[in-house]
Amino acid sequence: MPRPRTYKTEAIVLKAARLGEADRLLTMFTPSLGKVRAVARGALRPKSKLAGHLEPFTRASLMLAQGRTLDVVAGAQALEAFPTLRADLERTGLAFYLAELVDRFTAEGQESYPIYALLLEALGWLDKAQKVGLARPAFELQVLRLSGHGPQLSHCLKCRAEIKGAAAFSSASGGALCPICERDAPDARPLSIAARRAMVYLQGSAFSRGARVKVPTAVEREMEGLLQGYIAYVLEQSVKSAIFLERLRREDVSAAAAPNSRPYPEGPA
Amino acid sequence: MEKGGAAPPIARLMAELTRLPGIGPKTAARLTYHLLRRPKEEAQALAEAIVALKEQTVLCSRCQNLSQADPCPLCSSPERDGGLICVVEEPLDILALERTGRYKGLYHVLHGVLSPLNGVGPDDLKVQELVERLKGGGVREVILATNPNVEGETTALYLHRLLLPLGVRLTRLARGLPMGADLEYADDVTLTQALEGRREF
Repeated sequence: MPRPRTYKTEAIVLKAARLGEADRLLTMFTPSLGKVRAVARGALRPKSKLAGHLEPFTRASLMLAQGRTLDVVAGAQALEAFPTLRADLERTGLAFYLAELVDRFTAEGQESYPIYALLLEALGWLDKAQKVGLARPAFELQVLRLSGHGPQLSHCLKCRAEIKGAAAFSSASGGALCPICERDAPDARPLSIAARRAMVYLQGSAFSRGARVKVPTAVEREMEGLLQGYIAYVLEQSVKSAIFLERLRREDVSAAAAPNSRPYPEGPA
Repeated sequence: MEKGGAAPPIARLMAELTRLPGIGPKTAARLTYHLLRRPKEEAQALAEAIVALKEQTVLCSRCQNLSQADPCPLCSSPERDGGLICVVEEPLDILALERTGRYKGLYHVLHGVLSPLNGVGPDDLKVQELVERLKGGGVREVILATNPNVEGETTALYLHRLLLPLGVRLTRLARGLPMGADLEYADDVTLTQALEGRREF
C-alpha cells in the first residue's frame, strides 16, 4: 500500500535503540501497517518533546514522515503508558518478553490487526490484573496461532488419532504425538494430560480468559518448558528476554524478597 | 564514501575519525586538514593524549569509575560523605551530577543498564561489586540514579529488590519537568509524577 509522505497511525512501541548521538530508533507495531521502524530525532535530549511519549510499551498516536531509508517521527502523543506495569519488576520483565515475541514473529510492514489487539490486551492485563496468572503461555500460544505456527494438540500429528491420555510433544513435528508415534520422534518430550488440556484451552480462548485460568505450578512449568523449546525451534533462536525472566524467578525464590516490590508507585495510589 | 584524491595517510586519519560519535565524513575531512596545517607538536600532543587515555586510566575498585588512581580521588577524599552512595549507569553521569556541586556523597558506576532485549543481565553490570560494598557496612543511603526510561527503571527496580534485605535506605531521583520545558508537551507519566511530588512554594 503506498503511504502518503506524512501519515498518522496509532502504535505500540516494542523497543527503542540508541541511534547516533541523540536519536532513537523505534520498532513499533501498528494496527493497520504492521511492524514499522522509525527514527525519533533528538529523543535522548532532555528537552525532547517526543521522548516521554515513545518509551517501550507505550501506546501512542503518531505522526510519521517518510524518510529516504527510515520514517521519521514528526509528532507523538502517548495514549496509554501502563504505569502500574512499569512499577513492577516481574511485569516489566514480561512486557519485554511479549514485545520481543511480537518483534520476532512479525515481518516489517506485514499488517496484522489481531496481533496488535493481542499485544494491547496483554499489556492492559499486565497493568491491571491482580495476578499475572498464565499471561505468558496464553500470549505465547496466541501469538503462535496468529502467526501461523500454532501447535497441533488435539490429534496425533502422525497417525491422526485423537489424543486422550498422556502423550508427547515434539517441536520438530509441530505439536502432540500419541505414545506409539512418539517413538519415531527423537525430540519428543512428555506431555501430561493436564498441560495438554490447559494448552488447548489457552489456544482456543481470548487472551484475558486464558490468562486468568488457574493451574498447578508444576503444570505451568511444564507448559513453559515445552513452549520455550517450541518457540526457539520455530524462530531458530532463543528469545533473549526469557533469560531475564528466568533470572528474576531464580533470585526471587532464593532471596524470598518482599512480596510487594513496588517502591515507587507511579499511578494514582 | 568518496575518498578520491586524498593521499593514503590522510584517508587513513579521516577513516579513523569517522568512527567517533557525532563525526561524519565531512567533519572528519575538516579535522584532518586542520591538523595538517597545524605545527607538528600539536598533532604529537593529541596523539599522546589519546594513547595516555587508554594506558593511564584504571577502574576504581570502590566506585568502579574510570580514574588515574585506585581508589579514585572522589573515593579517597575526606570531604565526601561515605555513608551516601549514588548509583549511576555511566561515568558521564558522575560528571553531570558533579556539575551541580550539590552532591557530597560517593558514587557507584554500573557501566550499563539491564537490557533484556539485548541480553544484558545483572552479571554484565557492576552489581555484585555494589552488593559487596554495601555488605562492608557504613552506608546509610543508596540513591538509585539510573535514567528515567524503561531500562533504567527496570534496573532500579531490580536493585531495589536485591538491596532491600541489606537494610540500607533506598531512594530514587525525583522525576518531574525539566527546566525550560512546556507542560503542553509533557507526557502523562512525567506530569503525574510532577503533580505527586509537588512542593510547598
